Amino acid sequence: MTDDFNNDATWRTCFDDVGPKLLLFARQWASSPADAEDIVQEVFVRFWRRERSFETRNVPLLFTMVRHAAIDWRRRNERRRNRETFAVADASTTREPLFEAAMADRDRAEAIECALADLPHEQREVIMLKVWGELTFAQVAAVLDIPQNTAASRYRYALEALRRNASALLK
Amino acid sequence: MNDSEFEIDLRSLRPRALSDDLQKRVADDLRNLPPTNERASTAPASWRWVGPALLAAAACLVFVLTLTSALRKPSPAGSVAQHAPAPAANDDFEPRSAGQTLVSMNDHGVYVRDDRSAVRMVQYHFVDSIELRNRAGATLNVQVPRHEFVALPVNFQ
Repeated sequence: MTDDFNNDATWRTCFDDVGPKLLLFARQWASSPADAEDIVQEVFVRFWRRERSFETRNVPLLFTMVRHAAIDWRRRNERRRNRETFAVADASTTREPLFEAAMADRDRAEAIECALADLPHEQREVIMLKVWGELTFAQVAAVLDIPQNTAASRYRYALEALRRNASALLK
Repeated sequence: MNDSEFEIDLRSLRPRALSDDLQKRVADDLRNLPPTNERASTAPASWRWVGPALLAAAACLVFVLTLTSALRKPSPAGSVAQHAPAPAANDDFEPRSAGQTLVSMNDHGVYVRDDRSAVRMVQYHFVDSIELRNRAGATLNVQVPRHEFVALPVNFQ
């Protein structure tokens, strides 16, 4: 079996595992799913060219890279697009859902997506990293460059607001 | 539904899978990777200049020493004995080792740039050192202080 094959299999395993989480995280900033894909592609390729291997401890680094790349992307496009809304709100207009959901669960998933879009940005990124990124509070704090207590309190507020808003939408 | 039940409920939602197009684009980008021994340096960007900088410093020192040596040679034959130059071969100092030491680091606080982005200015004080040796075995240690200012992006939450 060749080296190329092993290398190819390794990055694919890594990308299949962490890629969807990175993409979900990137969609907070990007104005369309295609832009979010561009950001994730750029970051993952840069990461893999440098590291050539993947360990679980690299996950927070990947989120940090996505965050920086996405913020840079937003700055570059801010003037051109002349908008300040975040992409989760925009995503509703693209009709591309954030989550995989069976038809039976579609209403619930849409309610969560709408409730997420209503969250303040700093709370939304914490909840995305903690729930779907599966990071610890220490890792969330490192990615966002905030104290761990701040990450924990933002998470509590976000969870409460999300539950309240999603329940209201499902009634 | 309490918070922990709601959290479990949220976790049951899975992010959308990657599109085939994205997987193909990444595969295309990673297809022609150079062999592992040619991989890019993982050293932080602010340290990558160290090698070239030390080489340049060593080259400058050799040049200065050569020049000094050349200027001393034309002394007249009858000059005072203690000023007589040593044999030229012994004056050829060559670099033997080089290094750097971080002496101090000062945080100069946050500055807002013209584009409204904020950076934290940090000043590093290094001492670059180089050891030179000639054929007679004499060594010369040179230490040069160096200050480096690094702008670290600051993210206000």
